Amino acid sequence: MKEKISTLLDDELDIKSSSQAVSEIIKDKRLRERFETYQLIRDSMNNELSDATLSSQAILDAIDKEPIQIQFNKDKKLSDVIALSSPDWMTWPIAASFIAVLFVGAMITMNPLHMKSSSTVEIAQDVPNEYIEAHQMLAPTSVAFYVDKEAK
Amino acid sequence: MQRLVFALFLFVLSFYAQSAEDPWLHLEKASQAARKLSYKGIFLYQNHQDVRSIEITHLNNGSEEFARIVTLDGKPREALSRGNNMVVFNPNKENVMIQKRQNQSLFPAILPSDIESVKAIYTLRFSDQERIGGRDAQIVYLEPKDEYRYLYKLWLDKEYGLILKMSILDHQQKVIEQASFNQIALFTNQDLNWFKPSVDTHKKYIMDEVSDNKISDEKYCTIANLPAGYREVSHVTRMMGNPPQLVHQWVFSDGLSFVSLFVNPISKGQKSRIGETQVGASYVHARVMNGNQIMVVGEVPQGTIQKISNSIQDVRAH
Repeated sequence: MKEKISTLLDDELDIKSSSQAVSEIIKDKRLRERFETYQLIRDSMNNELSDATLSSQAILDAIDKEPIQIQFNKDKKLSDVIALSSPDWMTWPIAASFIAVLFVGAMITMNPLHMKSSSTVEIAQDVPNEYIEAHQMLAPTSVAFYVDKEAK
Repeated sequence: MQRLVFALFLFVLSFYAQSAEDPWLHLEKASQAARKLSYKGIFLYQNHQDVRSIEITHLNNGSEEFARIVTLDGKPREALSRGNNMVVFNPNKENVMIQKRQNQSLFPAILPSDIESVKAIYTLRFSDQERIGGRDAQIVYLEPKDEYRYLYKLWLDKEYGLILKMSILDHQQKVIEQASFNQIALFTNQDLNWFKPSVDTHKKYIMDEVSDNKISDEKYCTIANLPAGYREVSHVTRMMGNPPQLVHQWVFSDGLSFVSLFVNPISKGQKSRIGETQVGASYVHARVMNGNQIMVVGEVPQGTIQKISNSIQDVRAH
């Protein structure tokens, strides 16, 4: 689905696929959550927080109410594709980040592991940074937030 | 504006009337003050050898919380939060990394909203009074009832209850973590002009979604005999390592501190990890059980990490 979103953002999907992709975005909770993040980023960047009509629920309601208007102009962005009331709903930097997600995800999973000949390693010699990072992502503590990962 | 001032007045009055009876109300007031008041200040945060100044602006407009947290020393880094959602901006030379986080309990909002869990595992003791950041403060100690957690020394604003300073101390009274306001002021203005990141908008933005966490209810292993007070906060699965493999992560919390437990099968040819180490304020413990890598990470005493690692009674063999 991620590939589909990025292709949709690139305006490279055909009518049928675009329509499907938009429906899936509406239905998928994870994708909707992503909208919420982008909304927070966008709102804060544009300083539009006072505009209650831009809450994610309002966006989803708008998507539900309005007919999906698929447009195929190469210059059009997702905001036009899903016919939102706000014309600058999603700008390129944010759209690009969708694609970046794929890229970052790929980079992380491709990150080479430092293989050693021994099958058992003492963690004092080889600090398991990926576990510390994963912990800090989910543990909402000051340490996790204020301190750079020291073992990096 | 008048409504907000009145609400502030009621907030102080309600706790003033009750705090004479129950000392824990002081702590409840501290917990609520960090979330319900609007304040701006600069505090010094210290963890191990790492010291930095942080600016925090927090607004509660009566229905929602907004906060902007800016690291003033070292790499410019800032976070904007609205309700439970937080977005962290990490600018570097070419671009801005954007990371999403949730349910933060950052200083001064370190106490859980429901302090009942804290009551069960800590004893509250009142001590002297001191001035912090130009404000009068009451010192209180949260003394752990067992060896599985650290001691908290808190300086509570005498008027509003807000935590002005905190020290987390180990069993030898060594400071593990500390935060203290140099200056702090309350405000009633509700405008949100400050709620935007000061990052170069011409730079590229990259969403740093390290991995896709999936909420899991799979019974991958049996966990029993956790240290008292620790409860499961979340259980997710994520892909980690190379080749990528499914890792189960549980997060346990006693209301104040957090520990992660990771369990994943060790694939053929992959090294297993064992032993213990300390990274900053965190302890890490690794062992192997039935072909599974068990890893525990947390900002808690070493004994807690070991006990949580040993709490796995049974795990699927690989």
